[in-house]
Amino acid sequence: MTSLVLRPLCFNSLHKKGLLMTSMFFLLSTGAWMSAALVLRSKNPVHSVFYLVLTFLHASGLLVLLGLEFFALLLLLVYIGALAIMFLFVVMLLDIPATELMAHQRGAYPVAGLLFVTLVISLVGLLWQPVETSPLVTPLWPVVQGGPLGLEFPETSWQTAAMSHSALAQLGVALYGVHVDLLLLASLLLLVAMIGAVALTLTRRVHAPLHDVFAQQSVDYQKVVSLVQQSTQAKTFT
Amino acid sequence: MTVYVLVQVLATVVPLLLAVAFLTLVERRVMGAMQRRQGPNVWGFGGLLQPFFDGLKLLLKEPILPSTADQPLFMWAPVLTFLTSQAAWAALPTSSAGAVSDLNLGTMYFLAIGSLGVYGILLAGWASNSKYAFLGCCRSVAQMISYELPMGLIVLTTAVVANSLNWTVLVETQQWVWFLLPLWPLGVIWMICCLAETNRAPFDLPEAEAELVAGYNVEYSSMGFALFFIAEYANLILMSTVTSLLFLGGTGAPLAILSFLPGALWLSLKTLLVLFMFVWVRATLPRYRYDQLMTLGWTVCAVALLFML
Amino acid sequence: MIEYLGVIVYFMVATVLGVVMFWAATQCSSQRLDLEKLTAYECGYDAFGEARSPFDVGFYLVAILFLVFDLEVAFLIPWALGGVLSGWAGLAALLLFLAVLVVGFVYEWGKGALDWNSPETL
Repeated sequence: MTSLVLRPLCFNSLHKKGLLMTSMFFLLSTGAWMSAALVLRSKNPVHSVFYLVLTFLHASGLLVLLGLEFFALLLLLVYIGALAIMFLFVVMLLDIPATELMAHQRGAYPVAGLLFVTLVISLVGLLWQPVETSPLVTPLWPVVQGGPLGLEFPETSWQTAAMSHSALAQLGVALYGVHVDLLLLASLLLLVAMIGAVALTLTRRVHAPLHDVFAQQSVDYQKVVSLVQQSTQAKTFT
Repeated sequence: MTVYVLVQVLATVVPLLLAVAFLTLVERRVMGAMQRRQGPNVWGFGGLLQPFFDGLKLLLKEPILPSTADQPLFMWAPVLTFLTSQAAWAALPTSSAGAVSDLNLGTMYFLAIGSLGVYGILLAGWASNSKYAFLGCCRSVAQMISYELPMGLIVLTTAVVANSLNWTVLVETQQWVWFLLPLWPLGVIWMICCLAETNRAPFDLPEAEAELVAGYNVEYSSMGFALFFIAEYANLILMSTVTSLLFLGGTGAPLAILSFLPGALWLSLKTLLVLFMFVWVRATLPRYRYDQLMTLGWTVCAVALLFML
Repeated sequence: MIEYLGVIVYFMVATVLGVVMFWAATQCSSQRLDLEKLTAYECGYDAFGEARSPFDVGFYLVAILFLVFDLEVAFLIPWALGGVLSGWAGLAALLLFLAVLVVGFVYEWGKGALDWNSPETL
């Protein structure tokens, strides 16, 4: 992926990009800033998470404006659709009362100040840099023909690929063809996440007698009740 | 340009709302017929005015805002649910003219809006500040997210077959053979997922009368409830339309000689067939217990994963 | 990218419609406020205890597992279009990816994480 840089949008973009794009950009970016500010300002943690969801929505819109449709929808699908729901479950589980929130805030200022300074430095470094490198040209995995395993990696000419296939197809080829090692690392990461989640939250449950529905339904009712002996005390077992 | 899109949007929203209104009537009459009784047949010819009188009644009821409820969130929840039930229609080609927005990633858009639909319920359950509502919402949310996974995998599998994520291309690929024929196990799993996703019988424990007294919308009255209701039926119609687009060939005719009839008519007929099956299932099958439901969801997910391969 | 205009218009129309319907209900109805009406519903009794009691951790586990599998689906989506293009090597990559995640899934199933709460904890 080419390294993305959001250069500060200058005002003559009205001529280049049109009114719709510019107005949408201003609306979305203002909305994103406001939502982010409200995340920090609201006293209720649940409100904070909902404002975070709003921030994600605005960010998704901004990605559409950049032409990265796949990532916009991916943000909606994964961040808002899964991550924020997990955050919400956590926040609702914890149920932090407001007084505790206020009590813990005093010691946070030095740390927050340090992080803020770091953020400013990194933003300055990000915004003032040349936009030229493209790691797609130099893949991590060497693209060889007929390697030791007998696998043939496809030779991709990125120019022809860009002309004939959609962006998502190219991403697929890049992910599954060129940068396979990263993909497998990601799968290992997900595996660790799964196992970690299960290991942390699974509690040993009291073993209730499990209803084997099939056995229950296939009981022969003729054999359930039987007469044991014909005596004065007739016992029947049900 | 914007005006043209606005007209297209309104041309999809207004008939959809009418369809929702009549779907409530259809469901009650069809379920009545299956249970050997008559549904509403008093107002209008055969009960046709019933939905409008229902809507009017809901409009005239008093909207109650519980004092302990989180007021802004409480009011936004039904609007959000309504919003997500409408927004997913943007990418679906409802006629031969195509979709309102013919996205190249239309199927992914549909999945994303489905994920977004969970939030209305979450907001409603939380903002109501009532035990029943909250528990109902948690169960409903967990159920919906569990069944979104197999849905995503099934949509992805059909996209692999059609080699595109665009709905129009998906429909066109089904010109010669509907996806139902080669992919019928996926079709079965898909129907199950649709029922679970819309919180519909036999998976409607979160809103069951006996257990949770209408679950997350227990505190809502009047238009809040009406909006939830409309959103639920609009979601049902949405799932039926998506089923028709994915498996039944969408706007295409079954036989080539019949293709002079408009595409929208074919899509409507197929959607009606799927809706009838949904209502049929509701009238027929008993309700699943919640743990059985969730276990089923994850096993269904596993099966869908295997089919993906 | 211009196709997303339809999406934006749809969002705005649906929001406006929803808000109008809600507002119309407040205008068209009679408002007779009553203390009983405003309290939460609990089958006719006054509410027992705090409504926001801590709930089952099983929900949290479902959310995390859903997140992991959703990310897996997100990785699978580019394969839908670019998979055939990347030939046999791409298929091998996909199978390896899925194999790792299937191992995780089998582990969970074996551990019983997918069986929802046993009936007496509900």
